[in-house]
Amino acid sequence: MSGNPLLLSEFITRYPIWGNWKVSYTDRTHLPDDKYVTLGTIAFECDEQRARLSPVLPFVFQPAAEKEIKDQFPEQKGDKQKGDQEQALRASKIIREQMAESLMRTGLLRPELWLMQDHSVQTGFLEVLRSLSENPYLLLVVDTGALRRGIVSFLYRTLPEASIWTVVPVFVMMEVQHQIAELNREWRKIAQGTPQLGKCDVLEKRPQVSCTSRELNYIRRWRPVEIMTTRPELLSQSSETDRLIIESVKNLKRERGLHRGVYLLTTDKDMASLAVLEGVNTLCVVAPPLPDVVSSVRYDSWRQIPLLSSVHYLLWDLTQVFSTIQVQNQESNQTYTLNYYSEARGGFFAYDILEIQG
Amino acid sequence: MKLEVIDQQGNAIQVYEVPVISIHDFAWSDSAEIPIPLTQLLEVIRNLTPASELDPLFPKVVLYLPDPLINDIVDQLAATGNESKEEIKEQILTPPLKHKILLLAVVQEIIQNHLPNEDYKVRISE
Repeated sequence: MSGNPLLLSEFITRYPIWGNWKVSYTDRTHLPDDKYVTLGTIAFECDEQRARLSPVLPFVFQPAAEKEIKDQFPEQKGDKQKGDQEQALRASKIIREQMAESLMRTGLLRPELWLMQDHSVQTGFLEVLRSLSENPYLLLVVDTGALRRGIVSFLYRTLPEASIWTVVPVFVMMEVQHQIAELNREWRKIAQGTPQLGKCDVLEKRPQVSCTSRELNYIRRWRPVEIMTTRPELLSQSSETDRLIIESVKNLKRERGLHRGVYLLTTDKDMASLAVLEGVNTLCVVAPPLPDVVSSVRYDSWRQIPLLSSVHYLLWDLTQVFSTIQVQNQESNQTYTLNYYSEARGGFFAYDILEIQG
Repeated sequence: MKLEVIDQQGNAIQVYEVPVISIHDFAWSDSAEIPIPLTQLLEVIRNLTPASELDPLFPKVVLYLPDPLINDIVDQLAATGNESKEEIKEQILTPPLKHKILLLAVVQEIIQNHLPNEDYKVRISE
């Protein structure tokens, strides 16, 4: 497949979207060629004229229910049928989890924040933001999950006045590097083998590369980011990445004499609990469950202002998770196909580029 | 319009103000001032009907996009159209919003902020 390579800003300005759309995906690792699975529907209430005036308009996204997704996977006959049904159920759960993460990254869903510091756990959104904003600066040491879920961008948006310094331990980059190798291996296998539904866990692996690198790309253009390296002998140790990241926070505080404002930013509850036991203040971020209907207008009670997300950003993010996204408007007979991979293009994850047809 | 979250003892916990919306924009029942259990608020708001055909609101919003990207978008639109960058930015940051969409967004935020929802009610006033 080849199409028009675009940056996200070009997609937003060149492709006005209005009306009612069906969103579906295909992925050659686990679906046959040209088999698309519906993810949900998008509905705008604005007309073409307004869409041409303003590229970011309010919309509503209705994600497909678990059964609706499950029933779309091709069934096998015979002894394998029960196994296939289990695989289809597992796939539909993964798909809905990934949709919730996409909606969170693109601002349609608000993450839950748990602030663990000074022997207490705060879970109220306003309470947590009040505590964070009391620091003269925030030095956030991030794990891969926090980058993948776009939490640094979320904090930039929510606390625009705060001085935020993001520190990425080199072990996080090593984890991403490992995932890139895994994905490339999967990609090479596609040409040789037949798609297997069991391989749908690629939907969990891909955002570790695509969404993590996109978050890094943007926050580096926005605010200071430091990739914290370490002694070469530590890089070859086979310790758990979680352990190495917790040690990175401790080393950072010790070496720079910092006592306030340093937080481990993670999406892993177990890692957060362990870090707190060792005296590391932690902000743990949890994805909310996927609602039946999601509006692109959210109210930020901290800043007391409405937030508006772009449909292009959501489609962009879904493509980086699901590989190929198709959006169809039956009324205007329009179809766009967004494609993450291209054999012809190098550095697909480093420059945040997609291809679009239509 | 004001939405006041109160606890089981009737104490005000938090006030959410939506100045661009008036209680009179909707065909609100006489019972509007009776606190609504937070567990029922979403349904109540979903079922509200506008008092008349309302023009869309144009409130100031924050775009949920990385800042560098917003600048790129404004630059690209300015390069291809006749409007200035300031005019384009103003247009993007004041989109047409329906009253109910904005009100539902506030209610969703209240529901997420006050857990467990069973412990709270919401008093609505102008």
